Amino acid sequence: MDQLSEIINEELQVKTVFRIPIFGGIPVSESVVVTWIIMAVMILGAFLLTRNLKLHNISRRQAFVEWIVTKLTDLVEGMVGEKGRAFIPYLITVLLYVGLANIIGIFGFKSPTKDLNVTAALALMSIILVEAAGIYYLGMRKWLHKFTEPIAVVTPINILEVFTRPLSLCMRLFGNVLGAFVIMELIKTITHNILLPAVFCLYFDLFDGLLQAYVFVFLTSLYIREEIE
Amino acid sequence: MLKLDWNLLFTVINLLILAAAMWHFLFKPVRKILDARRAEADREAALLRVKSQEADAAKARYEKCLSDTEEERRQILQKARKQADDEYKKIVSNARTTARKIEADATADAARSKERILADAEQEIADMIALATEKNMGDGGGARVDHALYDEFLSKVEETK
Repeated sequence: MDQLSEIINEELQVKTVFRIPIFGGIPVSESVVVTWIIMAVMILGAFLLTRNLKLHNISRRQAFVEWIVTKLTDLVEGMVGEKGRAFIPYLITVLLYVGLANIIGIFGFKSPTKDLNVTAALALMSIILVEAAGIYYLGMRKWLHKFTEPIAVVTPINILEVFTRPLSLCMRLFGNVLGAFVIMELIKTITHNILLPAVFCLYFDLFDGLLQAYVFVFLTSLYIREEIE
Repeated sequence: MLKLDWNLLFTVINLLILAAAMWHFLFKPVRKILDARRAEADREAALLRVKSQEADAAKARYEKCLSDTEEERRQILQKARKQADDEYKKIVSNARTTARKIEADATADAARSKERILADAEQEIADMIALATEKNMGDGGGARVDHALYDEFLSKVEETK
């Protein structure tokens, strides 16, 4: 059990890969480096998939990329609404990034979403987007007035919601990924065959990872929709 | 694990760069192609609408032409029927006139023939009476002569009928 505790602690530690030699050395963690790898994969994939796009006589590659973009756009548009179309590319990017970040453990990397900094950054970005969308679509006056709705007495709760929303987004994602990782480590330690962890891996690493990405984007979309409609 | 540091800022920057890169390399080109295809489809749909309107107009013209032709055919037929009717009436009228004329001529001819025959018969009778009287007066043959004259008279009458 001590060994298990050590393994889990070891896995949960976010190591500093290198330091930027300014301000006394800024640490760059493993999660940031893995994020760069994910970014490189996504950007390279996007670049390779969208080369030589044609209007007629399209290739299978182009058909696939058009299909995937259309399907993801429809999926996110269904959540964020027609007025929030401008946010769709960012939300799809986050969906793909969080999805890949959650399942990258399968390929031997440490999942970036196990680092609170990453989930906090995602939640912070989401909430900035939500409030910015509110200000842009409603105007500063209406946006401020919204805090007093439905009655003025709930204003403190509405203001508190600005902070609780990102906190819940951040902690939900972090907690789910962490929980899935701990359960998987426990299963791997308890069982000595390969079949049972493989089956659970399908659920906790793949299904749960993608589900959490969907939930994160769904909630962000919901907050944006609430704000602009 | 549970502390926030510079890496939060790095992740925010990473996300912004990733979103911009994905927009540039994925969404922008795909949307451009999809929009171009949609625009082309719209253009073709508009062209089809115009063609459809043209076809409708041509159909309307054709139907009007057909209707005019039908009207013209009806008028021509009516005119032809009227002409034929007039011609028929004229022919019948002429025929009737000719028939009446032939009938009148025939009646006149018959009357004239009858009068002539009657005149001839009267002349013949008068001649025979004169001849009989003359013969009677001449030889005085008695009852035998009377009978012979009488028979001759009757045979003459029979011949004149």
